[in-house]
Amino acid sequence: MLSAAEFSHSRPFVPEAATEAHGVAPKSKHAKWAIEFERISKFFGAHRVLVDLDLQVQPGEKVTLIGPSGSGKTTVLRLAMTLEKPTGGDIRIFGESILFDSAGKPLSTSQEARIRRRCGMVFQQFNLFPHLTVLQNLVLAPTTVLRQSKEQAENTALEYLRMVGLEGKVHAYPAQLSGGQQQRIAIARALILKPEILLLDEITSALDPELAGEVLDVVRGVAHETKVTLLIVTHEMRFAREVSDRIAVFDAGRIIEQGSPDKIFSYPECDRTRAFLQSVLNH
Amino acid sequence: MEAVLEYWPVLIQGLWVTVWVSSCIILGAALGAIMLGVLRVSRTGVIRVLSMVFIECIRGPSALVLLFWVFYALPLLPGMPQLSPLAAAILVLALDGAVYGAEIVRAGIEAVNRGQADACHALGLSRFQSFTKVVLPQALSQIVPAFGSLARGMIKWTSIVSFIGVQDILYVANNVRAQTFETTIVFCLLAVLYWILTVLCGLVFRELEQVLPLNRALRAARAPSAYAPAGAAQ
Repeated sequence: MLSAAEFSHSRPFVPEAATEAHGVAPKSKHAKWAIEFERISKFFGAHRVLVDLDLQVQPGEKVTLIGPSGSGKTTVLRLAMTLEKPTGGDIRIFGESILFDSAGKPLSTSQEARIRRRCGMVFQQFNLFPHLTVLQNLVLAPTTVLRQSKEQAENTALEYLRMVGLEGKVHAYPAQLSGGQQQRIAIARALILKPEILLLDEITSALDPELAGEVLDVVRGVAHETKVTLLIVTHEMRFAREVSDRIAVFDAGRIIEQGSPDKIFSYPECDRTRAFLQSVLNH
Repeated sequence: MEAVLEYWPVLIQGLWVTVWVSSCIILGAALGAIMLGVLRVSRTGVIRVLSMVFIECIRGPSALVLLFWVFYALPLLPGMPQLSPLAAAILVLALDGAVYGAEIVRAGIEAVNRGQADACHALGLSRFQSFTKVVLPQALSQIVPAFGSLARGMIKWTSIVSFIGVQDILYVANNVRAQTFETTIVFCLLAVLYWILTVLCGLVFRELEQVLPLNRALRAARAPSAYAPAGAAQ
């Protein structure tokens, strides 16, 4: 795996370049936010998961969502990735709603896909495609979505594999890799599309601590050496404290407290936050 | 036995008709099953319900009743064509196979981890691209073995086509039996021929399973290789 310094040099993505590549320029008054959740509510049947959620993330900011299981953190990421539709409210990516056009009508599939392309997501269960090799996993989206040539996509894929320290696994299938290696491939697969916003959903929860470390090293590299906006859900408090610019504490579908890592971890204001941190840090 | 063997040219001809009808209905059923199976998992409720109703309508009656209906009753309806016995047989049996196969396809698609579709969505693949490049190749590992069993059954279903005059192996063998009175030998021969056909069909599907992408990947993972075994960090 590359060191942080090498990582920065090998980093082939820059948000500004990516913006140009996607052909999307921020337009509205909301454009100062990379991602903005406005009065978002979400119900699954009668179960209320999010309640009037407001959250804004600046371009390049690293925001970590923490809180007890079932408090709605993962749902926030899934909504941003349009894997779920909110019951109410609006979500904007660089000022553009991912739900409605300027006339207030629901976006067409192609409009939604264009905006969504500015986000990438890494999942808890990796979700690599088990029937494809590592290289095929990485080139699938560039060749089918970005219509890159196979050769170009493979060359880029090799750069990203080098970046996550897995250039020797090009022709391996996911089942031949450890969990940590699979997750590093999943990160490379998300980054290869040059997202401006990267959503990381409990990416180490399925790994034992040793393998989690190698994945977190890769994310540290991304967080410290790039300008990509990160929205992270994690139970790794030390990692959250280290990489985040801001921590938002969730409870029962609401943000009960947010602030700098130092403030949240050293001087939490809410009793609920204190209780949560105590239970997590004592484990 | 010698008397029966004298009729081998017609028996071969009958066998060929059975092989031909079997091949057509298996291929037709496979295509129909994929189409109906995809409709069964459609996100649009109306399409899902309509496809389910269609499947239940075809799956309910016996194949023989459907065959008689298409061959004898359909032409009586205004504007409906009189199909040849062979066309009617292929149409009905392929359709019958397709509706059974559709449930196999549906189950295969639903067996693919939901996270795979989520990953496709996150990577910006369209639903069609997700289905053709990720979901279906994985679902085939579930679909093909079950469809192989169905295909073997479909070969045996072809024996009913003789009821509307298609000169398959059963039709020819019955005639040979009537000519030679060698009932035991003729029916033993018939059983052996169907057995050979179904075993060959099974072998074809076993070979097909070997080349499926997910099976190939899992086989590679089980084989000793240059790659570190799962669990070992680099």
